[in-house]
Amino acid sequence: MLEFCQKIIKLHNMKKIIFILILILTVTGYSQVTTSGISGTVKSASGERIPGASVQVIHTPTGTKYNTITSASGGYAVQAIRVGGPYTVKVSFIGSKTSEITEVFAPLGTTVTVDAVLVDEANQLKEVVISRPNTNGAFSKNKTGASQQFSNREVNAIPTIGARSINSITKYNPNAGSGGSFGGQDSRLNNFTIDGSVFNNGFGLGSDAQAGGRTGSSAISLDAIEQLQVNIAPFDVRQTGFTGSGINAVTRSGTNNIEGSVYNSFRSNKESFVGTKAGEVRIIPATFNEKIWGARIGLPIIKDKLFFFGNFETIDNVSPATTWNATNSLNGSSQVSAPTVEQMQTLSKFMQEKFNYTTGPFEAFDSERVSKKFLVRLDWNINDNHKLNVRYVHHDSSADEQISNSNSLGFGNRVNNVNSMSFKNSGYTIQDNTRSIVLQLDSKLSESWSNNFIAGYDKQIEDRGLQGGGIFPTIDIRNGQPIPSPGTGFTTGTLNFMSVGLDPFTPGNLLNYSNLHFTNNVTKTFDKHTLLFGANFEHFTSENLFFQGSNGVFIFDNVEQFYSAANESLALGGAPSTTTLPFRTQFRYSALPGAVEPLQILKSNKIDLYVQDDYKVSDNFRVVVGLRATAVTFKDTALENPVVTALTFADGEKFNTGNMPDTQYLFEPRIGFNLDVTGDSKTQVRGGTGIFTGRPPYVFLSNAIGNNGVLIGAVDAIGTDVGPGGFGFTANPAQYFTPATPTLPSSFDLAFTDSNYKFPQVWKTTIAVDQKLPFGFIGTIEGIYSKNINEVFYYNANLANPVGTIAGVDNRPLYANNANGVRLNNNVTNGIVLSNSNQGYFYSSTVKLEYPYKKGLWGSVAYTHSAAFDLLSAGSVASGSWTNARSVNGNNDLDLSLSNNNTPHRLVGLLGYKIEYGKQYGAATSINLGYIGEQARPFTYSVGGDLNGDLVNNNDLLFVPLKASDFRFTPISQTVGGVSQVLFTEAQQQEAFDKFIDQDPYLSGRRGQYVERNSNILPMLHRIDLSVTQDFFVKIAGKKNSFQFRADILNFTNFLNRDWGISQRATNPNIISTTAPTAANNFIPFYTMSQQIDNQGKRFLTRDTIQNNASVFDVWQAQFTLRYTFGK
Amino acid sequence: MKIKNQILYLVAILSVTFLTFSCTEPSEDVVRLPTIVDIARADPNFSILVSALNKTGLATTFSSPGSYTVFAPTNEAFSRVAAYDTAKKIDDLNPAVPADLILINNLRSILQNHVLGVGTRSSDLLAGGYFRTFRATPIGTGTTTSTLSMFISKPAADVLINGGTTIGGATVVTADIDASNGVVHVINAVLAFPTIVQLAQANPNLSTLVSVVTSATQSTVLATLSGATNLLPVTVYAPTNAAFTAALAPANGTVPAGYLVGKTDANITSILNYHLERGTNRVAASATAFNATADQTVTTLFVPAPTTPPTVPTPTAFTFTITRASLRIVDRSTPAVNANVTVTNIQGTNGSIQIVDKVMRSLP
Repeated sequence: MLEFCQKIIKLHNMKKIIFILILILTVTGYSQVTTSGISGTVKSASGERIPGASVQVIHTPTGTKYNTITSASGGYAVQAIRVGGPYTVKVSFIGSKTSEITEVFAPLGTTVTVDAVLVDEANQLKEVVISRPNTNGAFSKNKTGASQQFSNREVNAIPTIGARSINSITKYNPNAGSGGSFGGQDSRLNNFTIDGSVFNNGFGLGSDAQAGGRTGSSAISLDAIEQLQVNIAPFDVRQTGFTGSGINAVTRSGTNNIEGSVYNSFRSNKESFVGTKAGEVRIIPATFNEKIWGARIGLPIIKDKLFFFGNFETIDNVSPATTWNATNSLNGSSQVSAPTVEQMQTLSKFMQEKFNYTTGPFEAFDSERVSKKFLVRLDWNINDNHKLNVRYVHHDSSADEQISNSNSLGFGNRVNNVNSMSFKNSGYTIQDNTRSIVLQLDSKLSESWSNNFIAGYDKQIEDRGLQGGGIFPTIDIRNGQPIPSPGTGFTTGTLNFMSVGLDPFTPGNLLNYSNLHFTNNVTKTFDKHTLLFGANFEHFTSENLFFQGSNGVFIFDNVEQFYSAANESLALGGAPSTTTLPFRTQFRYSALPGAVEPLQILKSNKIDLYVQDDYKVSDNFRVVVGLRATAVTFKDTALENPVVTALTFADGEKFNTGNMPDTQYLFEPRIGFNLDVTGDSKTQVRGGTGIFTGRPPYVFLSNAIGNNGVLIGAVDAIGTDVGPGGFGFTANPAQYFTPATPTLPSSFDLAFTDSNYKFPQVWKTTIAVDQKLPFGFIGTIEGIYSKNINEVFYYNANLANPVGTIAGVDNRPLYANNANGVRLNNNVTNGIVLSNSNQGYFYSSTVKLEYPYKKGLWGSVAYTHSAAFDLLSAGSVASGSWTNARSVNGNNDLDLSLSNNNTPHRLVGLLGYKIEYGKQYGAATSINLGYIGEQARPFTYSVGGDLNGDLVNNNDLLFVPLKASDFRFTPISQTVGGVSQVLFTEAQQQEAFDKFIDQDPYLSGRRGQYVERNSNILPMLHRIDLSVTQDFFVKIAGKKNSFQFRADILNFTNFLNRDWGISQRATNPNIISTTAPTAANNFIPFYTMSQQIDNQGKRFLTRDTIQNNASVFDVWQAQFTLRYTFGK
Repeated sequence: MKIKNQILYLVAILSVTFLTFSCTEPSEDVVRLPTIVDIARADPNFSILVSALNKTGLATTFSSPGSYTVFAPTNEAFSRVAAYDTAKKIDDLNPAVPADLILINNLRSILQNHVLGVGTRSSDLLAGGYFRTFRATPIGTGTTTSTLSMFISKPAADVLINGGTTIGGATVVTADIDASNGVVHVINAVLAFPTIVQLAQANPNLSTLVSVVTSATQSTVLATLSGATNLLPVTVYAPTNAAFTAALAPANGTVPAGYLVGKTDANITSILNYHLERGTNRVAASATAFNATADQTVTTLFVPAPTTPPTVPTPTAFTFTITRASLRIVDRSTPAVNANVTVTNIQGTNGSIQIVDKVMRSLP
């Protein structure tokens, strides 16, 4: 203490003291999820550390202040500060002039280092102000693992159209794959948070990994995003919930300046918005019209104290629901369905008059996709020590869909084909609604203790709705014709002709899920350590109702039969018809006591505790060590099926559908380091190793709760069973068909979860070198290795052993080829078990060159080589995940092979340039280019149909024969009026197959062997997107008012040259097809060769591995935006 | 001034960009081709055909993916077929009326006779030859059917179907209208179902045989052929023109005279009858063999006249043998002359034709 006081006196005696501040902008590895930090050291000119200096960090736009004092070692740190800036750092010391560093930016999840050197100098300057130009933290002294920031500038500049998803930004991370996957993992294993609350498509239905994806929208407007961060392998234990990437975003907040913006974007199928030429193929885009309106405003409610930010956006996309017309329609179209206008009108009128059911139109009606969202945020600087913010997001979206064509209920093939039509109100709407509130309190408890508290509740609602007309049984009417011979009657229809009533999969199709979460982080800084103690609690609830067919589904042979049955039912006061009967009646009812809705409920609690030390070993070496421990529990919401409990499955396994997985404990130890090799921040080596735990898509777990065979009972009567069962037509099947005591189905499609099932975990290791290069460039070389510890794995516990082998050169095991023979328990169609494996892995190496923002110019380019391996790619339904695997010996025996997310080569580049001219009146122009060249979308050659008799189609990996004549082929015929003629003979097919193998680089090298999953891949696809903005502004009273015109052109490459930017597809991965061979042909399979269709529509035996696509996604697409911005 | 320069600079950049776009080489656009039905619907000259396709349900087939060669008769061609000479007549057919249903089914058969299984361009048809249509003609008293053949030839500039209009065929008016699901060739007449005589007449390579059979001295043979029906079909083993040339060649040095040299008309009748098989619509089982495992004995219509005095037993019809697993015919000569069937299974309404490369010998 004495020494300290003497030092102060000594300094006090200095005549002139000026701080020369050397700033090094850095990004720490121990990133906070929603905030930033600023830290540094204050030294004297002679290198002495200066304790006791006052440091004030001010967020200029809001006047938010963070105060601290340098420690005994001269260091200071302010934690949990607002993201962005600009910040001003004021350093003052007794006897010295106050010094300021302005224009400091603190990117999301980073800690900016501001070091100050104190120099004694006879200088008359009163104050030293050093301006630090903006930088996005490209050179990252304190960074350890793999992560990337996207600043507000980049978010706004990157070309994007339509709903402007976060994906359109994050795809410029070099480790991204196609479809939003990162690090070779399923895109649903990313964790997307906004302000610390979860915005994942957490249940995992639909293909999009983010909230809003099911309706092609997003829950939050990009206009409300301040910054984005993509973390592949951050070694901060606070970052969790993913094995792919953690994508963190923070929303904008209000400032002391009133600032706002109003914008209108629009695009359509017109020629000024969409290209028409994909190579030599002319594209005629389907009609659509999309309009986006949005606005944002940020303002102070109380200056320097309380701020408001708000944003709203609506997207309205209208396109024709169908391009098919009825026969004799006055609407011109080349797509004409068999029913006539008169027949459709008669049916519609009948429904209205007899049942008061409004069908809606059957042709020339629109389908609408609508998204409406708003966001409000309040930031309250309670005092210098406590800052609070609250943010609420509200998103409603819906998309109109036509009636399903599935035949799993009813007859199927109802719409959009030459044979059949339906009505608008037979369709449904899918919704994707978000409600999210989050509160965050950042507190400075003392000079060394600070606290960050987040509480949030996020809810997703994805119910289906109606387009109109109400709930009515699904009526599928086939195309039966009157029988000409004496008497009456109709022939049995062979094709669906007309469908009316509601889609069979829509009644009782509800899904909502929510996440209640609390996080608290306590930080203690002392000496060279920053200690963190944290806890996190998450409560997940999902309620899923899939009560298909609860409206009743009827199939009639012809329309007269329906009219007659309907009239009879009405004459009976609504009771089922008894004379005229439907061909088939299907109806499902709740089998639960009291007939309550068969809701599938999943409840899970997740508790995390973690501790971390960020240890600054020396000025140029930092180590972060942390450990996170997680416990996951599930509530007992599953129901036992006693019939299943009594069954024995493969290897003697027993399952109880009432069991949920055991409580699981997961640990994430991590260590990261950063070494500034030369001590002058020119070269740094960083890296680390550690375990990351993700959340599975919760539908994986919900599957077992839903597929247990005790929730739903079913009526399914066909032909002669309809009458005796009393299952004639009625508009109210629930009233007449629900049995007093539910009879359960006698066979089950089951999904189980292994009691030891664990959440996904990977062990990631990274090493990287960052190097400052001449002319302001920064180069990075980074390597990532990721090993799966727990990955999802499915097996069928009810699969019986093979019964023999196939004859010929491909002598793989042959299963029984009948339901009874491939099942161990004949009353179980599938017994799919959700389990874990640990075989998959991923590696990548990246070379990156970056030019941080300087005088209007910024950009980066990166190349990544990577490989991803796994056993299978899971879908959202357990049985589908198992059947979609690819194998030689059956899907319970999978080999490690390339993943669906494998992206061996990837090039990404961003380039932006903006010039401003003028003062009072002026303008600004910017041009931004985004480039992605990638080789992605691997595919697998497998045999179409069921070669090995396991009753799974298309899952058998192809055997490539030494010569095609080793395989037998069935002649391919075509039929005219019931008479067949051979189109392609066996010899022609053998020749074509041989030629196909020879032209395919992979297959030609695999002769005599089985192909491996995902070993074929499409060629590189290069695409450049462009955005151009032109601003005109007027400054009024120092405030800028600007009008902007913006054009975004996706696939600008195709705009430049019609032959560029065209994607490709695998022509026919099921290159040959067959059915399981039988004793009748000595177990020799007979194949048919697939056919290829060229862009003219001509068909021939498949010749080419790949074909060019020709759709609206292969030509350029533009969107124009008009925007008015004031205050900035 | 500086601002102005910058704006000009930007305009220049954008101009270059847009010029690059507009300078792209113009080339032929590839568009999805119309279907066969689309083509027919688009041309008022096919209104009767369109009605016929709709009424018979074949419109669905020819709107669907496939590879069909369709010979499309114009309205003018249909106008010469009494039952179907207007579109209205076809539209008014009611499948619930038995008589109409027969007309509809017949119409479908006629249309099937105008379609080949493989989408072929007329350049592929120039070589000519026999093709199979989708018209399944009934054979015998049972339910057996066989699809009718069609012969395409190109004498001079014309493309003739089944020998042209004079013998029930047609001439191609417009060839090669490309469809997504095949090719359309417009023809000037509705094709009749061809008999074996028509199918032989249509083929220039059988002209010698046709001229012999139609000569006054061989009227009994022609009567046999013309009298054949689907219930009592005849199979013709038809020697080519080259086979006749060889058989009629005079002796030349060591080469003896041809088999037919010096034969009387009665001999010729017998020899022709030796090339006919009645009651069987013989069909080769594959492209390389009549029967894979057994020799086929063919009983011909050449029954030797009874000798005087009559021998016992009375002479039976002469036979020849088609060797198993081949197209080789062994006749009665010694040493046997092996003829080969070069074109198999030409199907007419009343029998089949097998083209052979030699005149077969009924006697040594």
